[in-house]
Amino acid sequence: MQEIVVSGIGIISSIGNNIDETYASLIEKRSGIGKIEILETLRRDEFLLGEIRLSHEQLIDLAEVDPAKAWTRTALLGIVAAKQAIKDSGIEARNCSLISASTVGGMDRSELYFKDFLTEAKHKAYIDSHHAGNSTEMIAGQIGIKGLITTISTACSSSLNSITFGCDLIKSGKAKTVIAGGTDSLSKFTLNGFNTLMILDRELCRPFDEGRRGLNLGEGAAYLVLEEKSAAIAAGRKIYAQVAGYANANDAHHQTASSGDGEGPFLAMKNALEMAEIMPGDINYINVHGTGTENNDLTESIALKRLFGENIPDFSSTKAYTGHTLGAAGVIESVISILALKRSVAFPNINFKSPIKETGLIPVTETKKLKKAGYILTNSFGFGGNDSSIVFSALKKKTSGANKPKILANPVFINGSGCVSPQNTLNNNYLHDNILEHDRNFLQIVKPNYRDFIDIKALRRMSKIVRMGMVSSATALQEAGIVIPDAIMTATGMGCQNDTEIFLNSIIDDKEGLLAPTSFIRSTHNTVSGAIALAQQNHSCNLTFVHRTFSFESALLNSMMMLNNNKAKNILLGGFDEITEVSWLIKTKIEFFKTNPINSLGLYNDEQKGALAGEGSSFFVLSNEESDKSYAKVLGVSMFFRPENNNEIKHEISAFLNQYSMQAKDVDLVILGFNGDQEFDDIYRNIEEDLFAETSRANYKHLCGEYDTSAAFASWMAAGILKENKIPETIIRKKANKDSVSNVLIYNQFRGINHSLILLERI
Amino acid sequence: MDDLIQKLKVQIIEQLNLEDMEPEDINPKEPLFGEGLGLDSIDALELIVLMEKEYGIKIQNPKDGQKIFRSIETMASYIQMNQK
Repeated sequence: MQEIVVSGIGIISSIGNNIDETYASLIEKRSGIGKIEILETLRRDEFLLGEIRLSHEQLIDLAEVDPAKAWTRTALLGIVAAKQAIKDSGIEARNCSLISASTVGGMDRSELYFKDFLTEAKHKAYIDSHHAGNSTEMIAGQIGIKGLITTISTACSSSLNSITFGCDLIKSGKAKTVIAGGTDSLSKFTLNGFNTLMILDRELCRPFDEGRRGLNLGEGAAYLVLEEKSAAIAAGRKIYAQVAGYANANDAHHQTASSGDGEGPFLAMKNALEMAEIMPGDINYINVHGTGTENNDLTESIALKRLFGENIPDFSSTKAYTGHTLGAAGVIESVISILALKRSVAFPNINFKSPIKETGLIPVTETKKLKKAGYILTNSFGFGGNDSSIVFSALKKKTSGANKPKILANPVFINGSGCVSPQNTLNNNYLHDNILEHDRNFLQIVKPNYRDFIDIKALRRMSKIVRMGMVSSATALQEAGIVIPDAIMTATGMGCQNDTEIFLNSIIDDKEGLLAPTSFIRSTHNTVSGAIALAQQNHSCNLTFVHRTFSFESALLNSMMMLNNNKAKNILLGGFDEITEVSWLIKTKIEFFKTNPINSLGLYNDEQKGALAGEGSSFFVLSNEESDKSYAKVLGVSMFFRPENNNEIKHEISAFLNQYSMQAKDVDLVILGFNGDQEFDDIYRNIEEDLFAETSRANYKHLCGEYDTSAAFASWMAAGILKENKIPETIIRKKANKDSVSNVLIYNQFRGINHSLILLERI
Repeated sequence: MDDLIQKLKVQIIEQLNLEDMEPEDINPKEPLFGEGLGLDSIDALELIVLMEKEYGIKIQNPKDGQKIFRSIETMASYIQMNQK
């Protein structure tokens, strides 16, 4: 296996605008938490926050971006940190990949203008900056990235997972250099949300202290430059650390609370150590998650004791400095861990007085020179039981493995599928009859009988998107004959929109008054994957990708990498999005969606601007072994961002097919993502005429509507077509003179920005 | 007291989205958490909101909820004692 090193760092948080300021604050015990100065909240005098004390305009200056454009605070923080990282390492950004993370995305602007989106034209620019992948695209645009970009959102562990995904991309030959990290800005949404859970300390937070009363929120961004070790050495880079081991595990206990035995945190740490091939005694310092809530710090203490016994290494939480920066916490604390490694110090856990009664652990309370700093562990745990750990080490002289990536060579098998959509798809009826026509403004799913699939006690807590995910995932697993898969990979472009809207509305309508917690805790992007893990009691790796029309494709790519590297045998993979009246209406204002109702079967000739909005959830069981239930093989997936013209698109498609020794003419069926928005459908028209003139061509969005993860629906269709060797009439655009379908290419794109390709083959 | 208990049952079913439940299905002496209705810590927070919104009673420490929300009956008597 290749070894990955960190060759550049960028960071901004309440304790410093760069790495030197960060280090100085840490050793001088200078916290960034204080009275609220920047966030425009009515609860200004009640809470303390780890704010970056720069206004929106000051941040625009610091980020050196065009002040006339619509920026979210989340994007600005990300741009500042990512630019630093690139400068620090000296890499050429163009060919890098960017893997970012965020929990609330552009919420800092959405919550200011939400009510005005429908009425005030001047705020329209912020409608599309809401989604979690927006900041990633803004950063990519600013630093000129052309490589793979995507975004992960697994609540408070998000950016540890973006680092580990970045490492895996390099090891699988999918990227040479990765900029990985995350960004989150403070918002009224999270402040009021955490307040409904009654886990905000109104004074300074005190992690691991018996008297702890909760957390303080913070904001920030950080990015690491990741490279293969020998390549970084050859390029003469300064090397901060080696990424020695990492793991993600699931607590599978509760949507928000952590377990009494610390199973998730224990497994994350244990598996990270195993990957690093070290013993617990080799760890010299742990930067713990340590939020300061009663629940987290107790669970984490128990997990530490389980793994390290009586010999717990020096450890501290640095959340009393930065506040809890949510999606950015993992990477910010990775930077702090790397500083600990480089300077051989353990940073003090400020505000600690007396140990937790049940466990008695005492963190480092003064800056402590470490006798040895060989291995440093850092933890990040999040809602949905999502627990991650990384071990950073000093540069090892000896290289343990090859320096060539293990290229993704093997196809994976689809051994089960399940689909909830605006059609009768749940019984895996492949659209030969009973096609539903819709005459509405947007398409909604055919509602399954949820009680057939979900325990009634669990059902009351589940919104529509969670229910869709539960039903389609259960169907896929049942078909494949798998009870507990080895990993859960999910994808959603917009996440739990309904709950986000409910909570946002109540914040605004009740003037940040008395709010109920349920819609807030259900608003995280990994709610669905957390609920699936919980129902299965599944402690395995569990990730959620949230980058518009790259979401499903990223989750598929990661599944293929895991299966190829034998990290899993069976993976549950799914993509889902839900439409709501409000989200549809808002997006009609920027002409993303059509305003007037149309007959869905007449979609492709409709002249109204925008796409026909839709929703759905499609799940698959992917395996590295064929079974008697196998539908088809997935050969590969590719994503490309902002191609300059149609020629570049054609080049990307040809290059992708070439990897499988194919040319466009060898494709038996191409499924194109036509969505009735004539302006952008021209891209498909151009491509199909030039590349696929003699190929059977299909379209599908008259059946499911347009949504970010609709390629999952197309993949579900493709799997059925390959199994039955038959193309349903309703999707045919043009039929070629060929009876058999031995392969299917899916090409989907979002408004000319995000393009993706998925290639499947018959078994 | 009986009126209050009846009202509370309706409010709890509504606030906690207890699908398929009718007020008469809930025994006012039955535990709300664990074995009984199977409520959890999030429901306790929802009930804290209900107490303040409907009855003007503030519960500052979520731990106090454990005693107050033991059953519908304990909730009703707490409301009677604390309502201004």
